[in-house]
Amino acid sequence: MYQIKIRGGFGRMDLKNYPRREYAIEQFTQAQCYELIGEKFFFVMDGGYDYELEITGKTTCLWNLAGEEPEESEYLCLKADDTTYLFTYELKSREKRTSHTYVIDKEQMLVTQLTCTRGLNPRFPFMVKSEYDFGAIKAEGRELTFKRHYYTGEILGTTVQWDWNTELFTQHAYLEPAYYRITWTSDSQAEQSFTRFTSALPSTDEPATYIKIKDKMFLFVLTEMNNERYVNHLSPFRSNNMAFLQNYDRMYHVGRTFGTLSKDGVISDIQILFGAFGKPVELNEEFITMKNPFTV
Amino acid sequence: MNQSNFGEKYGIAQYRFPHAYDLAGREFCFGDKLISFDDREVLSFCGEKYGYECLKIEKDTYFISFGENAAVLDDAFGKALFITPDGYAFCGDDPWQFTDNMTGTAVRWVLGSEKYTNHVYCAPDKARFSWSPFQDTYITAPAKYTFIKDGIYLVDIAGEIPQNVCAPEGYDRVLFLEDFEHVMLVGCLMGKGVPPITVSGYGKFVDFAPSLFEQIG
Repeated sequence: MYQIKIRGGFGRMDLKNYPRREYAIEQFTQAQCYELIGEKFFFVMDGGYDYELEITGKTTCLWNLAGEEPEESEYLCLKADDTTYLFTYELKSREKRTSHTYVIDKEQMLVTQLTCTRGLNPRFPFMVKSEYDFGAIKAEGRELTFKRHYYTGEILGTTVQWDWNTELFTQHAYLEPAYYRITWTSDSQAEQSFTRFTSALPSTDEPATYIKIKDKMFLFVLTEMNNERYVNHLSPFRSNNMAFLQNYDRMYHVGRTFGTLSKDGVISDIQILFGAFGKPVELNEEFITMKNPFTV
Repeated sequence: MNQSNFGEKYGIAQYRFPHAYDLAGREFCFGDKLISFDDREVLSFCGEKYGYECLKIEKDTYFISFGENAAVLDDAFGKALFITPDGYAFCGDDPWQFTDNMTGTAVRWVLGSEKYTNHVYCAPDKARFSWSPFQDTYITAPAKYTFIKDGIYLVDIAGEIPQNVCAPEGYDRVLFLEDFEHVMLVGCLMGKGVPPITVSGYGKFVDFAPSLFEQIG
């Protein structure tokens, strides 16, 4: 039990022992962004389906396919730099759980849309399917640009350590255009949290997508598909989809998850924000050069 | 290519969060103190205009650096703290106060890749600090601690930054708005005749020598 609460907090204490909640990847999440309140966007998408988005409050937005009636959703928003936003909400009207996640780039007036849907795979009902579309933000008095955020190999060869909380860090290697690989050392909380199920797999490779947003900024998206296919009886995370908006200029990222948690027999939806601070890391040659066992 | 880097060009400002523009266009009046955020870059305070930088530590709590001044603003509870060359002004109903709650706390604040400062809050009016790479060379300096809300404190240490550390020379004061729930901070370094440097970062609870906690005088 902690000290009796007095005016000004919990009384004198070593704040290492502050009675904070237990965190995994969400402790170093930056504060949510409210500065888009009152703004309206029209996204002209290359896929031919344009979208409108209006931010009506600190947690509420209206969105619609152009020409259709707006629908209200609760959103979450984080910034990766002064003018680039990761904006996400779930679609209440869909039979299958669906989310839209946008990278709204007000510097270049570009947008990337990630649509995630759960429940389309008859064998693995928790599997998350991701679809991408790219477009430009329409603004009065400005011509639409022909440039786009787009898939990239520019990030391949990157190795980075992400510090997620005071005890948890992971080390990522971005080596192939459609996969990423993860590891950690024994002094990370990951050793206790993740090793149990990753050690049952031939490697930690998972499908991933890399999209260039601007110089030194990438949208990196992974889905824990191999985890779901092969070790879903061991892992609490069921086909988690994680979207990272990574800023390599300052070496941090912001992100969100969309997936399912299976804990003590209880299945629940998860959609959380996360963040981490990065630093360069050298990973051993064997880890880097090992063939991806999930590809031919 | 490997995108990872040590953020050399930003120094201790490497992990600084994106600026928060939530307050642009808003005005707050606390008795004789009026602060008006004209746009994303300029604010008016007591009749003077300043360029400003605003960082969020949590959804409604902001740290603002402007000129030789700084402020903490809580938009949910209508409280503010202004720190000017004249001293502290606590504003709002049931205003914030200095606290001795933090005494006994020690933390390493990481502001960039391999760039950090160790803080030891050894007394209600003093702190010990060091800067990497000389993490064992501590300076004892006057300090003020303000309770903002559960887990969130403003730490104000008036001590000159030594030579050859990761922070630049010429700065003699740090103002850190520290969140011990998330173990992150936003804040700034200040000095006479030098522009403030805004910073963000995360904390690590490393082992500190017990002697660092001995109180002075």
